[in-house]
Amino acid sequence: MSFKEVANHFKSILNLSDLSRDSLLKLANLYSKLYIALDGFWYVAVMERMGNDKALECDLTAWQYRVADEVEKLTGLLNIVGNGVSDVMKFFQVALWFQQMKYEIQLRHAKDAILTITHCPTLEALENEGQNRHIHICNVVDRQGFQRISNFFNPTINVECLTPLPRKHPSDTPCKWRFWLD
Amino acid sequence: MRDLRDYSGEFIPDLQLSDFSHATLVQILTLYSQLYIAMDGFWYLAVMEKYGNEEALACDMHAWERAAKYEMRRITEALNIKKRDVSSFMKAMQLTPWCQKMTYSMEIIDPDNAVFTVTYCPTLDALEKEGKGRQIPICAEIEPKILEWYAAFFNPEIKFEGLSPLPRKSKDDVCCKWSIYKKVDNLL
Repeated sequence: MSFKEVANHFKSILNLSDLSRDSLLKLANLYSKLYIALDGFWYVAVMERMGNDKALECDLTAWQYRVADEVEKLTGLLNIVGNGVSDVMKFFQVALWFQQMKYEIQLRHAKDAILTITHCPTLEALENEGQNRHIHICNVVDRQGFQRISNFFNPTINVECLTPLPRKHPSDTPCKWRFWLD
Repeated sequence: MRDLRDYSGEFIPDLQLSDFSHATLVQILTLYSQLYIAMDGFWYLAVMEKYGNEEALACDMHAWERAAKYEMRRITEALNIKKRDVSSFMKAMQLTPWCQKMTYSMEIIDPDNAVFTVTYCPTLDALEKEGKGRQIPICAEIEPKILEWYAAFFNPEIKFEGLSPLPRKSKDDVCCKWSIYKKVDNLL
């Protein structure tokens, strides 16, 4: 079913398998937006009630739980079984929150990859908000997040950010990372 | 379009979700729904562990007051739903991540009257297994409030009436059952 058919014809039980490929892809894009937004609504809820330091602390804890859960479930579903740099890159490509990013992945060789984020909606929203929350989110939450994800695949994968965090100017690349094995 | 069943092969630098087969996309979307629900739960747990259940509940409500409206706005935009009646609300609900992980039925009696029955709810299932009684406030207080926020996006006059005890008394019972209707002012 297309989205138009879903809107025009009510089905008492609607299964995802009833949807066309195009509808499923649109829904994936939509769920990615909802996921990022819900994460943000939780952050703001904690921040408004208890301040930014406590919100950041809870964000890091929630991330810690999420990374293990998401990597395990997505790699399991898609049969991503390796523990190399390219397997980490595969995970990013299919991660729910990554579907809103624009990025390039350059696999230089089996043990070395460069991930360049060229559009990050969270960073844009935080820059527009103007409260400087991106200083800690980019520098602490993202840095720890990328390292944790990589460690889940292989504790010996090194992660280094090649650009300033956060970026100095909206026209700069949001961030650029190197993942490598010695 | 590569029609992939999984991603066990070589790394594909320009991989898009559209490279997966229809069946795999269904599985990915089901998992995405699960991850969405789990992320909400992880935030709740993070706040609860550090600042207690009461604070976690308060933050949950605060977050969902915004999230419910946002979900409905995005879904109605995607589906191009313009009507603001109960049946349109049910259509939008069907596309929420929550409904992908629940087992439910929806009966539309007329455009402004429906019955929504949930027979499997992963959140309730997890809370019952946890055994701390957290389903008592979550089913009886939070859920009705969140459903009202969802409905208010369509029409503040859309109301919910529980047709089953909240929380359920036994695992053999339905998780919850609701009459959803638009309140009509008594003109007499």
